[in-house]
Amino acid sequence: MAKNLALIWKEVFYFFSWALIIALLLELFWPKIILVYFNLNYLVILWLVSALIILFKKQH
Amino acid sequence: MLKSSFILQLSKYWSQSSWLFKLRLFLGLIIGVLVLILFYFKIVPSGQITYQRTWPRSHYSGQGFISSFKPDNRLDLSQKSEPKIIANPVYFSVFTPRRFNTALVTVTYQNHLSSSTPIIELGVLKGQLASSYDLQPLQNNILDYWRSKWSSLKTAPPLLILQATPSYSSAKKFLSDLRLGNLKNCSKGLLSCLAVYNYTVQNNYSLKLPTSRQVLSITQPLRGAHQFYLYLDRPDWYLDFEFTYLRQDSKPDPITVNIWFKNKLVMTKTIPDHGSVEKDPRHLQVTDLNFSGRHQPTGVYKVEVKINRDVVIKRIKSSTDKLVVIHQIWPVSSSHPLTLFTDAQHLRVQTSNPRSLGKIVFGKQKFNLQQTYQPVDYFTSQKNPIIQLSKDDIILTDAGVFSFSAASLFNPEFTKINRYFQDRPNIKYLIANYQSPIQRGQLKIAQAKFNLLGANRSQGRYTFVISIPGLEQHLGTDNYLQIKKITISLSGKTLWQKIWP
Repeated sequence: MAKNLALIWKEVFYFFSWALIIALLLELFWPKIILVYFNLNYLVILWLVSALIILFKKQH
Repeated sequence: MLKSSFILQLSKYWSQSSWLFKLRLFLGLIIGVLVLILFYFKIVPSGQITYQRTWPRSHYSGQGFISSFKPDNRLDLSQKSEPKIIANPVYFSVFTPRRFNTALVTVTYQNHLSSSTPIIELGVLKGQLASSYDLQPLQNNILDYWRSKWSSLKTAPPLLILQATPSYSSAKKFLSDLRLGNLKNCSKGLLSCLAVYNYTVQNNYSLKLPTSRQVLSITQPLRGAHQFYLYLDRPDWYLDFEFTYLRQDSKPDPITVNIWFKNKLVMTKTIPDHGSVEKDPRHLQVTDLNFSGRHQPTGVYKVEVKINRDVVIKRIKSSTDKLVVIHQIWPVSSSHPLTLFTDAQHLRVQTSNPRSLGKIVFGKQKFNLQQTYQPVDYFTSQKNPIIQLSKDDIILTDAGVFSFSAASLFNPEFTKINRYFQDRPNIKYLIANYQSPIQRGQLKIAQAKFNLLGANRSQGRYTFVISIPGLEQHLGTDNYLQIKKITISLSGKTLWQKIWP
């Protein structure tokens, strides 16, 4: 169960990583395509939180 | 058969794949769908989209499409979420993911303005110059007042026709007579009996002025963009401009002069410029633009001199002495006191130069310009008053025209229904493109439609202005306009029309 949870968090981290990369690329080519709707800082925070959770679980 | 075996294979593969793969696929689909949605709102395939903003704003994590009002010093921000407009004008911009053709703007507002600010207008920036706004009315209390006093002819909105006495029973007959330049009870001519607001009179009416053989030479330098009316009554004519570059900055200072006749561009000339770092006045460049013609129709021509403040019109020479400056004049580098003539009874004066402060005579009354950067309004009851300036570098603005001699003074414009409009016995008709705002409790709702073709769109943004003539900061914070909601419905080409025009 714990192993499955760790895998889920890993996938969530990959999801936020890809979402961030695609968002930044979209913003690079079409400025404000996302920023008018959504503040990307929230996505960065979610990505960081997911990364910290994985690191925390790895340590313990 | 092939289709069903494919589905069978797919369902077998799906049942055999791990839960991790399914999770990954699901999360990937979320990103894919979100990207598609973003592209849908970027392309706007239907060609129609609406953006809205309210004050106060409900929680919204993005930047939004409609910006806040600027500049801050014209707003009362004591309640930051609900700013009050206390000075004129204020600007906001609208981000659009692509270009559109038309915009219908609906403004919901609370009006706490005094009677000295009866007009509220909304405009979209057209062209590069800061003064090139296409203004449309949101509210005109003067027209609303006269609508309750005079009879109106039945017309399709937004056209509004008011008459002091019921001379006409149908708008069709009125418009037909207007086109011919022959309205009933207008013995002194159309210009004296008709007032307009947001309306361009299309007619064959031509102003006829006494023929003059005088040539004109204006040696008073004028700084920045100016517009002129020129009356030509001879087949051969010329109009020469001489310009000087101040080079106070290194930005390019192109010069464009357009000549219009009956709303059609008949001549245009441009001198491009790449800017210069020369700031030494001994190296001031001089250049000229010359126009001439033969067999030009008799009538009034509009001349637009489109230049920045870094360029000065040093000299104007014309084959006719009937040349007037429209609405605003900025004389500079004058070696002697200046006398000007105008047909307006209200004058707005402003200077940014402390050395230009001092006495101004307007219609035989003496005024003292005491502050820089603060526009001051002067009034006179005298008809065609004379303006005498002891100093130059003062910007004079009025609703009429300026000339350098009494003989040159003429105004081909109709009386405008602006905030200084006063009832005159000779004005018998009012015509306007205007719809009164709708009252909803304490709020008012007004609409304005704009043609965005040719509108300035910089970094994906259209710039709008809210203009309330006469609203000044010194009037206090009890005199304000509070915008509650702005809705912008944009309309443009569909994806189909873009692919197959």
